[in-house]
Amino acid sequence: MTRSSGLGLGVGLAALLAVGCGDPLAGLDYHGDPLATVQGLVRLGSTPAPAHALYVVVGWRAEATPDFWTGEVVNVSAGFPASYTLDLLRPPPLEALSVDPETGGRLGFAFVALMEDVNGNGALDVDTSSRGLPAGPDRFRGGAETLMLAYAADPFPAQSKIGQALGALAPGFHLMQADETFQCTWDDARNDWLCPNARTEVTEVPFTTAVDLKVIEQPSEWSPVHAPDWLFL
Amino acid sequence: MTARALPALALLLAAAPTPAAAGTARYALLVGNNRGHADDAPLRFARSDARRLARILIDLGGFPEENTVVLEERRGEAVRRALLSINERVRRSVSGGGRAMLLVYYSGHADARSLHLSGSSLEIEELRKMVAGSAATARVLVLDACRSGSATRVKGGKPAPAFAIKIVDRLSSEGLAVITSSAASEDSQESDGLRGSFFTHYLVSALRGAADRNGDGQVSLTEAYGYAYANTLRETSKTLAGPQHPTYQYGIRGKGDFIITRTDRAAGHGALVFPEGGHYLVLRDGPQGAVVAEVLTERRARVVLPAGRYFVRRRRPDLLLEGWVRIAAGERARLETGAMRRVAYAQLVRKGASARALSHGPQLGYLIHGPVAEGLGPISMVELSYPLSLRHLTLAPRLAYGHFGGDNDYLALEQHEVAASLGAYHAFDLGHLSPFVGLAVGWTLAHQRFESEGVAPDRTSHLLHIGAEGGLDLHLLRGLYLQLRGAALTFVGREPRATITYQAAAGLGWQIR
Repeated sequence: MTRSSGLGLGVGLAALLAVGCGDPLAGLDYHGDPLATVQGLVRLGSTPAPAHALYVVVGWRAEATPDFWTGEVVNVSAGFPASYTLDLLRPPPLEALSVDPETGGRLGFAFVALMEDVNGNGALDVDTSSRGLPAGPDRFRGGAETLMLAYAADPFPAQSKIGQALGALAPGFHLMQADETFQCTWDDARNDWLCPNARTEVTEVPFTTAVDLKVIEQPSEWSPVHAPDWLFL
Repeated sequence: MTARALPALALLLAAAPTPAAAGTARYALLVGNNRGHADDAPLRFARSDARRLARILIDLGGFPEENTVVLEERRGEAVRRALLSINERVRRSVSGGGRAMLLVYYSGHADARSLHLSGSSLEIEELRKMVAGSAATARVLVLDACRSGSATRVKGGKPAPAFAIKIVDRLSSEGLAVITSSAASEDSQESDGLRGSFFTHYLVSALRGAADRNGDGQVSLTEAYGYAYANTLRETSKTLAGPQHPTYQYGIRGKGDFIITRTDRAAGHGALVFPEGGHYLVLRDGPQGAVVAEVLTERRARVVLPAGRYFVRRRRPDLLLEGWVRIAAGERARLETGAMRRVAYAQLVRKGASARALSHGPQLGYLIHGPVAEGLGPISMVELSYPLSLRHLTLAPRLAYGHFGGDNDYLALEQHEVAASLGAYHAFDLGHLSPFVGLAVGWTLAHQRFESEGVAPDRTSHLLHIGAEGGLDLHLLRGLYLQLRGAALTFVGREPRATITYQAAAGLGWQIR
C-alpha cells in the first residue's frame, strides 16, 4: 500500500467512525425522548368498529380542577384488535396534580382513554370546561378500566402515607394496577362516573404490562376503577 | 506522380518584387510526408508544414508559384525526379548569366542516412549532393525530420534511439546552407498545440517578420535560423522528449547572407506592429484557431500577415492579455495592448499560458442547503473557501458555519453546523465566464440543543456528504470574481442513513496569483 492510499484509507475510516459514533440527527419530527411508554391492544369486543379514527389519549383527573385530557395522540386505524404504543414525552401540567398534605409532594392519576376523531381534524378536540365527560366534537370511546397512570412530581418515600399505600415512588411516570372490585359506574345525571366510597387497592406494575383498551359505544359500557384520591385526604 | 502547385493566389503577387537582388530567379521544392516507413508512427502536420512554408515563400519571398513545387506523401523517386527537373530549370535560368536561388525543404520521418518517404527511402547524402550540385548561386536545404512521430510528440511516448543527420563534408560549396531542425542524438517534435512542428512553426513566424531584428524589412536566412533556433530550443525544453537544437551550416563566403523574405511590400498583406517587447501569439479565426505567428521580441517588432481579423494573445509569466486586431492590405495595424482583455489567473493556468501551474486565492460566500432531516432547513451558512486552480482541475477546500432554529409542539431546536468539504471541478473558459462541473465531498458536524418540558438531551451528529456540483465563475476586475454554485448532495449519517438534498452558494473570490 502506498503512503497516499494508506492516508486516504485512514481518513475514510476515521470519517466512517465519526459517523458511527455520533448521535442521530434530530429533525423537527423529533418530540423528545419518552419519559415512559405505554403499550397494549385496542379491543372492540361486541362494539362495532368506529366510523372515524381512534386516538389514544391520557385524561388527568384532578380533584379541584377540570380534567386535563392531554398526552400524546396515537392514531389507531388498523384492524382490530389494534396494537398501539404511546410515548409519554412530557409531564402533565402541574394543575393536574394533587398535593399530598403530608409531604407536600405532588402526585396525579390519569386514565388511558380512547377518543374518536369525529370532526376528522387529526387532533384531540374536546371541551373540558366542565367536570365530567368532556364534550365534543370528538367523542369518548372507552379506555383501560383497571390500569391507570400516575405521575409523581416529587419523591414519595416508603414511610409516607402514599408510600405505604402505593409503594415508594420516584419522580416520574408510574403504571398502576387497581383492584377491579371498586369499579365506577356511569351516572347520566352527573354526566360522570360514580365511584363507590371505598379505598381502591393500587399497586405499581412495570410499563411492560400491556394496557389494553376497550372500545365502547356508550359511557355506561365502561367501568373504570376509582382513582385513589382518598390518598390526599 | 505529379508536382502539386499551390493555388493561383500567387498570381496576385506577380507584380511583387523579389526579395533577392534584382534578376535572381527563385525556385523551391517543399516535401511533406506524414507517412514514413511502415514502422514509423504517422505524423500529423508534416504535409501542412510544407504547405505553410510554401505559402510564405510565395507571399513574402518572391518565389513564383510556378517555381514552387509542393510534394505531399510522395515516394523517393518522385522527389528525385522533381529536384532534377528543378535543377534543369535552374541551369537554364542561369545559363544566360542570371542568378538563381534554390530552397529545398523536407518535413517528415528520417533516420541517420535517409529520408523516409511513404515506404521508400531517399539518401540524405544524395539529396545534399543534388542541392549542392545545383547551378543556383544560393542553395538552401532545410530538413525538419522527425523520426519517430508520436513517440517524440509533445503528448509523450517512447523516444526512439537517437540519430544524427550527417552532412558528410564541410560545406565547401559556396552559396550552400544546410539547416536541420535538430542536432545529433535529438528528435524533432510536433506540437498539437501549434498544429505543426516546433521548428517549422518558428521558421514561418520568423519569415513573417518576427526575425527581422534590424528592422530593414528583410528576413535573412541567418535571422530566420536564429529566431527558429532560440524558440524551438526554448519550447522543446518543456516537452517530454527534451530540448531540440536546430543546426545551421553554411558556406556563403563572399556572397553575403541569403534574403528569404521581404515584409514591406507584400500584396494583399498588412503589417501587425507590436509596439513593445513581449511574447505574442497571433491566431487565425479566434482563440481556438491556428497559430499563424509567434513573436518573441525584446523591442518593437512586426509581422506581415494576409489581410484579415486576428486574435492576439500576449503571454507574460503571470498575466495573459487577449484581443482582436484587424489588418488591412498595405497598411500597418498597431496592437493596442492597453485595450486587450486581461485574462483571470485561473483561466491563465487552465490555458497553460502561464509559467505557473497553480492559481489560488480566498473566496467568501453565502451558502444554503436543503433539509437533511425532517423540517431541518433550509439552513443558511457562511462559507470560506480557497480554490486551487490547476491546468485541468480546480480543488476547492471549503469551510462553512451555519445556524438553524425551529420548533414543534413539544420542543424548540437550535442547531449549530460546521462543514468541511472539498470540491473538485473542471472549468470551461468562455471569455468572462467560466462554467464548471465537478464533485464535492465533505463532512458536517451538527450540534443540536433542545428546549423541552420532557427529556431531549443535546446531540452531536456527524454526516458525510458526496454529490455533483456545477456553477459559474464571472470574472470581474483584477482577479475578483463572482461564483454561483449549485449541487445535489447525498448526506449519510447514523440517522438519517441517507438523504438527498440541494445546496446553492454565491461567493466573491479573489485570485491572488
